[in-house]
Amino acid sequence: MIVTTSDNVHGREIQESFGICRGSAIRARHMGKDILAGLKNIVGGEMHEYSKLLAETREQALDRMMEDARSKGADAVVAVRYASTSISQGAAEFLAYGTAVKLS
Amino acid sequence: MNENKINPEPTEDELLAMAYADGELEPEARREAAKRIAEEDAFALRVAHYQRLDVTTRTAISHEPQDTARAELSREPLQRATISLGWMSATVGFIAFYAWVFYEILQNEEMSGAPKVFLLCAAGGLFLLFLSVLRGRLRELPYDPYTDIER
Repeated sequence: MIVTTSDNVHGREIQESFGICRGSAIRARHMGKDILAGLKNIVGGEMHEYSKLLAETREQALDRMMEDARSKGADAVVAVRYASTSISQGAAEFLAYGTAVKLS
Repeated sequence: MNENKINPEPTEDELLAMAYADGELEPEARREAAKRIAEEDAFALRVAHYQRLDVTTRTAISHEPQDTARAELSREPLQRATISLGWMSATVGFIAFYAWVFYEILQNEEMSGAPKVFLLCAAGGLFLLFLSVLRGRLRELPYDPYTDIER
């Protein structure tokens, strides 16, 4: 499946549009990682515990968006965007959305 | 099921699981496979394995200079001992402290029986809820393909 942030796919034509497709995920690390990340606040540097958390959530949201597109019969998603928000402390929420399309 | 064993001739189920994980199935076949995932634990585990491979490959990271330093540090005996001792000490300390607070409250003769019962109910309830959440996480962990992602 082609996933792109642009409005069209170079060299291909959009044959059919299925409207918005989206996927969201909220994940947390365990308390031990939260404690280590909290201690990192004192000394500075990258919080690997949360970098990993963010990456896991991003990929899960992306997969869910692609699954939504597939269920609509699409073979590509264009104009993909990410959004994030904060629901719970220590948790990451990602929303991935775009337009599900069928390419010629 | 040994997923690490390389089978030169993949079975029909393996091919189906791979195609599902790669998103290569037609909608009808995908729905059929999704139904099997819901009903057959072995097939669900197989799909989760291929999804994990797919996600790990997709998110393969380039090595950053600080990764080397971090990896070296994590192998050093002093660092490992510090972390192990730190966790052990903190865990034992917290559990012992809360057990002592709990015991002191229950032994407090100035407090009537009702608040003690409420405290017992609250603490016991929270502990049971924690156990159920932990059990749920352990149950779903083998099916979660995102745990190997680094960044």
